[in-house]
Amino acid sequence: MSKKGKLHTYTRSHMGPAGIRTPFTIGFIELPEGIKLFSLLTQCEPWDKVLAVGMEMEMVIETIREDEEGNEIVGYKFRPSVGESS
Amino acid sequence: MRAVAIAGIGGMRFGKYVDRSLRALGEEVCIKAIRDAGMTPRDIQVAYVGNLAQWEWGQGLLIGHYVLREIGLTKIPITRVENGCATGSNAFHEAWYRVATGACDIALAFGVEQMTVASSEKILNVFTGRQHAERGGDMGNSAPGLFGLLARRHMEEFGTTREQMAMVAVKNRQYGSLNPEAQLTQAVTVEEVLKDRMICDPLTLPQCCPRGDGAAAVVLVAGKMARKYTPIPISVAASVQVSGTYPDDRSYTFFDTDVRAAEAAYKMAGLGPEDIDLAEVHDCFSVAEIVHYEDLGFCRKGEGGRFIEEGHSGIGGKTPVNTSGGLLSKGHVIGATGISQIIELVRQLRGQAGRRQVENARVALQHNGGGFIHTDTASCFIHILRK
Repeated sequence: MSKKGKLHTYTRSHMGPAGIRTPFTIGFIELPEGIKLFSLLTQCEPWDKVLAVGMEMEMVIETIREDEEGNEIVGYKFRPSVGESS
Repeated sequence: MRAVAIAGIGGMRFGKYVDRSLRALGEEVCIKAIRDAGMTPRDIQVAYVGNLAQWEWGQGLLIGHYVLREIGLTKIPITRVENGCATGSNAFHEAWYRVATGACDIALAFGVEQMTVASSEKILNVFTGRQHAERGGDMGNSAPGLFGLLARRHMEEFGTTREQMAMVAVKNRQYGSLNPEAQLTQAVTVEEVLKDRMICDPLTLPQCCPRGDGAAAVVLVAGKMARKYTPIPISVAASVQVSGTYPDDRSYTFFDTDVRAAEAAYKMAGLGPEDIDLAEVHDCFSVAEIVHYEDLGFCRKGEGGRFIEEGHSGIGGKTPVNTSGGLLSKGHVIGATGISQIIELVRQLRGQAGRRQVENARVALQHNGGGFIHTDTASCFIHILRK
């Protein structure tokens, strides 16, 4: 699957599961394959100035959360594209 | 299918009942509904109970049997159903089906839930289904999150405003203040709603339904014998259940399940959205009600924000919605929610809604969405009731 897509929608969540520090930002990314992928968003502060529906996003690998024993769980997130603009 | 009518209703105020058992809550409303239908428990031939979970310790067993045994109702088929947030509506639908097919003449449907006994974290874990990776609970997904995402896209595409969403909470809390069975009874203003604690942008606390404890019950009878039990039988003109297909090839601004269920329900009743005098819809979050106006055909796509702003969904408007105060005032007492919506509509159609009464109400629609997978509700129930 593509690692780039467009931001379909986003929100700032002030509540969530144990292990993710609030507030955090989430969204649906529209991939070129026609799939909407739920993802945490990162490197997008201040989120309400930086983010916009339709903007280009790219995947990064980062810590998603901590489990009950304090281990870091690593996975994908999306950030506004910083690579060559398309 | 033969005609089916509602002959009895039994409601109670939703709230916090940690000192009462799940069984006691169910028992209270079942007795009320059976008495309201002028029956005794022995008249009931089949029963369906909606109960999503026994939140403190997980999945309990046989709740329907425990409740009904208390009122001397044994021997008959008793079945618990679960269908996410539409669990109560599913119980009603099954009871309707038994009578509509002629398998029996008198059925009881009730829902019961006790959520305040569990911690918020436990409830979040059940809701987000941490065992199902595709639901994204471990990655920060939640019910308020999904509706915050829906709201943002709706604002972007249609210009829906924060104020319009806040107006849904204001309207529903105003009606909740007139409903003795509502949990939250204090009216709020747009300014208060907007200034309150942010949950998932743009949804502040009063735009998110509270949880609660409570129960609700109805008695259904074959249409031909309804007048024996009630002076004002309320017929079930449509009872529809659909499940999600989770399409990706569309914008996240509506519920595909809503649209398909509404189409099937209008067809079954031989009616259209213009015939609906009032509705109870699943306002788990303020934005959800705006989207349901559109999905159910009360207004055109994208015009839901204006529909509330121009007063069309208020009492005296084109299609009054959630005169009970909705989930935003009553709380979402999951197993009981769908049946509680039906009770409000029966009261309205009987002319017993007091200060919330919609004049000349003859046709009413109930809508209840259940659960969430990806970008759609997993199930959707619509019932159309008629005086």
